Amino acid sequence: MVHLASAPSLLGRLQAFISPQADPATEAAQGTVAAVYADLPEAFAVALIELPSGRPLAWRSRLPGLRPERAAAYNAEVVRQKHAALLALGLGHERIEDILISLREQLHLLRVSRDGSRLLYVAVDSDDSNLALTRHVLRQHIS
Amino acid sequence: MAYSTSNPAGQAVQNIINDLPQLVAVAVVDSQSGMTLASHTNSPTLDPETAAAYNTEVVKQKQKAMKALKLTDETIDDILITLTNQLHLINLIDGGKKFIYLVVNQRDTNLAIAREVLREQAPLLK
Repeated sequence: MVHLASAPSLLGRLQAFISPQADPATEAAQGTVAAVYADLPEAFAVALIELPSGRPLAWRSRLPGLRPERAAAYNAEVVRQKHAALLALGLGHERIEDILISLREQLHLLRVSRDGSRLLYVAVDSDDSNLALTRHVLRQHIS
Repeated sequence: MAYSTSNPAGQAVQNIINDLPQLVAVAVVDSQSGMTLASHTNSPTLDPETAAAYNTEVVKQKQKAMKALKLTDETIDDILITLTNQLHLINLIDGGKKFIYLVVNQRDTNLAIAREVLREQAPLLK
């Protein structure tokens, strides 16, 4: 039988075991996403995605309908396809720094970490922000 | 020379070369098939037709991402890719049916200029 006093810590350990928050990589990812989210109040959505798997590590959204984690795998695929294009063109020595997609009313930015293991994704309103500013913020938060 | 100025795609390529003589490569591409309508390269190694075929997939994946985000009333205007030394630009025309693909060296051409030059050609290709 579990001693009453030890029950909360046992529960805590169990939660730590099953909850993704306990993973230090996920915790770091959540920190990065929170920092970008705070620096870009006009951003609709921020996500940190693992490459090449396309697994979303952490994400936040200000619009209930916009779920960046759902598009994570596709955005990772955009990077993968561009990388395949570079290899096919004999540009394997070039590294993808970022990909900026201008939509009619939104800007989507994809910034690849230097080691190519992570992708920072942000969607902003093009009326409230600009490409250069958003790009600058992303550059500060992922290396 | 992989273009003829007797058609709009070839004219667009010629206009872009006139504005950016230092460009690495340029192509006007049919998005559905990935085939080039007109192209030109100043690089012995960069084949714009291969580039067009691969970059068509980049556009398609982004369109899938937008569908996953339920952004059905949005359209892609352009995609700008920053590499270590080069810039790759994809400017979508006519609701994404065609695109202009441009490669420049960052030391010769900045993003804003390259983007402006491509935008000026859009009416010609509609």
